[in-house]
Amino acid sequence: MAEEVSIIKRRTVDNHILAIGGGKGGTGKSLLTASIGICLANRGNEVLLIDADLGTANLHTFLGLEPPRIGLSDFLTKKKSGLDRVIVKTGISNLKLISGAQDIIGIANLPYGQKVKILANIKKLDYRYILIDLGPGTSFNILDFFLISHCGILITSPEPTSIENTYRFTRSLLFRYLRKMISQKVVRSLIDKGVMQRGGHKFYSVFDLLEAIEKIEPGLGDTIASYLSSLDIKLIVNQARTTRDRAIGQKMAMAAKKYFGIPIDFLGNIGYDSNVRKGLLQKKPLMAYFPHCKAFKEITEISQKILPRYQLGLDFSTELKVF
Amino acid sequence: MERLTERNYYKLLGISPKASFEEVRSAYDQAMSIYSTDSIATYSLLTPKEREGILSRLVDAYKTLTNSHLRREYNHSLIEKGELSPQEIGFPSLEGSNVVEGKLREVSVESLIQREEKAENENQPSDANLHLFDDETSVTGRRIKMVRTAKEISLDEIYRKTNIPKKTLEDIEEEHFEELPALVYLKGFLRTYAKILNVNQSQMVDGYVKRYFEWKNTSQR
Repeated sequence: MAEEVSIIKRRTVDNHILAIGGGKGGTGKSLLTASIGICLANRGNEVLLIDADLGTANLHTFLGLEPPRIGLSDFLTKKKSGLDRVIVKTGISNLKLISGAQDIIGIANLPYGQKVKILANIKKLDYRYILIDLGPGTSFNILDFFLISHCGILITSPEPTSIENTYRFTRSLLFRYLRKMISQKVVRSLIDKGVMQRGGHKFYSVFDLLEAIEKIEPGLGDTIASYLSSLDIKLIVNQARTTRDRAIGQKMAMAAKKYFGIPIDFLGNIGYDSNVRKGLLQKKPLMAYFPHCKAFKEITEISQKILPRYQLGLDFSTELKVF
Repeated sequence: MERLTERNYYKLLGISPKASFEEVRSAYDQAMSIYSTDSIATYSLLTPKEREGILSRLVDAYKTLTNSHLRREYNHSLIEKGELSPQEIGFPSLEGSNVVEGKLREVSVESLIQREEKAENENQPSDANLHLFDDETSVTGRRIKMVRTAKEISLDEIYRKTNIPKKTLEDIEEEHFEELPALVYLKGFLRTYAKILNVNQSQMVDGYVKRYFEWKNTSQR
């Protein structure tokens, strides 16, 4: 009996959390969050979208909704006691939404305690897929949302500005991850130094950092390297126009893997589609024009590559006990 | 975790130690398109110094792995360092041997060299005598073809890369002199062809042209 309970418990937290981010604004993060969510929901999965673009939330617009009356802010101001109480329907079956914070000045600068509260509560939500739409930038808030996810998806457009921000985001993410993971004071100060020097050319590459750590704490550098290699980070190139644009994603993935030591998995390209822009300008809900767009096919294909880990990581020992 | 610039040439290019010349070339082309200074894909990822380091290492890798002599020496150095086993470059030299673990490396290097020497003696198109023609007089259509096939380069590939018609390439190799284009074109084609084969260009051009004139002189007499 005890065994059975633990299985059920395990199941309820078997959600797959995906964070969608990537540094630069305007690369299509919200649009892709909404459309990937729709694709996953269409295939019969329970999907929850969370608009964590605090301060400038607009995920609801893509779904053709008026700004929902309840959202993250109600949870933060304790008007609603649980995160599950601020979920709204979207009119699309299997797809629910937690709207971004509205009308609270300074909400983008989430105090640490509140952030931890949201993060802990997201993990408890019982949905097959939870997609978190992140705002632009590399603030700790954004990085931390990314880090609680099971899988982080970076969106970039094929322009140098966006690519630069993607790398900056990845670098910040890794330093943040290491800062959270490592307790040794000496090592921490090394990491902080690396972050501080990021502006100039003197920043630590991940290799430099690991090498420096290895000198202080033999063996630790290798351990960290193996942790880094287990991170699940994916990359999508959006608004690709030319063949050259379409070649960039794979190259970025290869270079980042060699340079950062993390396997970045290139999910695919989404072509620039004027119909998407037209639809956006007419404030039409995504579903009204999306299925007729070329981009829809590409997004559908990409969403098919997003599988929760546990689909592959079958735990046979527990499964057998059920029967 | 190794730095890019510290990886051996095969790992750097992401290819197997058995990779053909063609595979080395295409891996090199791809890596250059990722790391070259005008590549958008690595924009801002690397400092100018890091980029310079990677690029010069890539060039070294290419030069070494497309020259059979240098490549063999490089393979030996990797084997000695224990980074590569003879089996990985296609020498099943230790199968069935009873050498003890500790002596394995030493023995394998020697047997490897022996194997290659044997291959040379049997006068098969082995690597060593292909890398350069002995001198101009040794340049014949048949020799060129031997060099090409030993380097596993197909006529199709040369055509794709150079736009030299396949028919012309075949005529060069088969020495159908009467079919060949005007000398000025022929020289250009031979030079490009030599570049692809990574052999001494003027040697191949001059040697072949000499042969061409020999034919011309005899046929006009």
